[in-house]
Amino acid sequence: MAGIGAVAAVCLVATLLVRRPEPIVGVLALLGATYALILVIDSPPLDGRSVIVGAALLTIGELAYLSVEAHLAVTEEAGATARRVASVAVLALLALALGATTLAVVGVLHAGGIATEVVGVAAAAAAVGLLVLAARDARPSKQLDEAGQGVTEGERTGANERGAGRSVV
Amino acid sequence: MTPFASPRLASYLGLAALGLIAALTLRRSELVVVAAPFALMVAAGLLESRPEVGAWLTVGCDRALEGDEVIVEIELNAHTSADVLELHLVIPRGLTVVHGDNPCSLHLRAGEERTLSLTLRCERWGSVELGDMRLRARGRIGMLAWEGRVRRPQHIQIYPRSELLHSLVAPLETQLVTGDLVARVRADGFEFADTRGFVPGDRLRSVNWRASARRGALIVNERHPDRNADVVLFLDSFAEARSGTDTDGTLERAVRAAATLGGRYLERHDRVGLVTFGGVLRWLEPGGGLVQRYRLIDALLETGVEFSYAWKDVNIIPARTLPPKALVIAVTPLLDERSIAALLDLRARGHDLAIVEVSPEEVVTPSDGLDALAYRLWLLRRAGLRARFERSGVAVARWNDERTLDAGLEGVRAFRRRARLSRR
Repeated sequence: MAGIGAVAAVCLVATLLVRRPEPIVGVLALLGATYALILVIDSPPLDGRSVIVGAALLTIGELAYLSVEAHLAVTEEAGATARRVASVAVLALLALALGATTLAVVGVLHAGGIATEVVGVAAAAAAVGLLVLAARDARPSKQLDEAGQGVTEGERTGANERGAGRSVV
Repeated sequence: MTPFASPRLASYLGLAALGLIAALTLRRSELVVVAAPFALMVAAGLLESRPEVGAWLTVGCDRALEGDEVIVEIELNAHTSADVLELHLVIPRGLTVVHGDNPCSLHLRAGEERTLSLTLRCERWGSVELGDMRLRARGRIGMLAWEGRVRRPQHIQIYPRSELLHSLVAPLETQLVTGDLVARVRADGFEFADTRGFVPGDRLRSVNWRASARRGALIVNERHPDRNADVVLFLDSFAEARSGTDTDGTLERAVRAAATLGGRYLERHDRVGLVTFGGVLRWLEPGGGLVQRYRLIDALLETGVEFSYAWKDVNIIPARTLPPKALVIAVTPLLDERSIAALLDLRARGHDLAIVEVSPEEVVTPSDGLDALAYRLWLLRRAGLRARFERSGVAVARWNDERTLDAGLEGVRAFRRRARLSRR
């Protein structure tokens, strides 16, 4: 477990060094898989640490994306980074609250039998389906920088005063 | 504005789906708890409303000289909040940002108005259009980015700066209209030319009484009249030489020289015309005054090197653009055979011609070996070309980094003092 966690940490550091956002999801998935493996091996009845794990993964992801975006060409105004870090902290707290609520609901429904399990499967499938449908129309974003913006040159107009003219022949 | 997904959207969506599927597969409810924050982030991000931001552009002036600084103000008005608004004003060629951030990122609250100021330096003459703004706004969650383009076109005419010039090349023959140039012919005027014997019809005020008393016969003064001249600037735009995109090429310097010469001749009450001889032929018939000066500058600002294979000679130039007795000043790098042939043709047709060579030789930096040999051969060939023009009675003024335009034209004046226009 520690080895997988170390590999994830190294991957995260490498991701931040190369300043590319794509590998971040892989690092988060690796950390989540590590936690799932712990759950499978230890098999606790209902692990309360999942609340912290969920909030921690979200915080790691947000901070990693924040770090990558901070290196873009666009100059940010003063205080922007501090404001976004504060937003991440608020998100972490919200994630903790949400996780605790979810864990409580899961605890109540834990002994619900096959009917509850079917409802859970349907809810999970519906949630994933709704999210995929909602995100389907969104196109990938582009980086905004000074290069490759298709600089518009002023349109040239021919001289039309008296005694002036132009010919392409 | 068009919504685009940020990289986080797909990542968090995938993680949420993976967590829920793993929870079902492994039958571990804790993984639902782990996946829930990611699913909630995606849902909240997709539900964010579209930011509405208005942008307006104000340019400090619409006319400037090369080297001047122009202040541009961008007014932003946010109808709804934008957590991060990235703004990029597309800067056309010829302008550079010297003060202010472009692109920049800022935070706007709902109803907030903000004015950004940019100072631009006019680096190159030309007519530029400013006002293409690219916006990208993100909400607080940041799962979607809305990108849009705002066009508020504003035109800036950047006039070429003047070169130092003390004196001009005088034409061999003047026109009939009064001007500042002392004509070679003798007629009514101010400048004393000579004396001669009185003939019936001479005016009494022309009699030189002191000389008449000494000679014992009536002697009259002859004078040179003050006339103007027709000057045609022949700008070669077939080809140019430049060492890089940021440095001035021969065309930029040629336009500066043409603008300087045109302005100075117009100040002397001469009539000035323009022929831009290149892939696109442009012409402006000779005229005088302030209006002609602005026409000339506007025509020069349109000049560019348009690539063309078509062979062109002086026959395609409208006849009225090259009036008789006009002084033709060609500003050329002497790189294209078509313009060289046209200049020789003009001289062969009896036009009074002088050439300002905007030297491309300094632009070329040859390496060792065969390059150096080819460079030396090229220099020899250019020297031969200059000698060919001088044998035809055409003075060539070389203008480069080491030699000013004024010094080059002094060489032309010295050459024309010795040489005389021959007519067939």
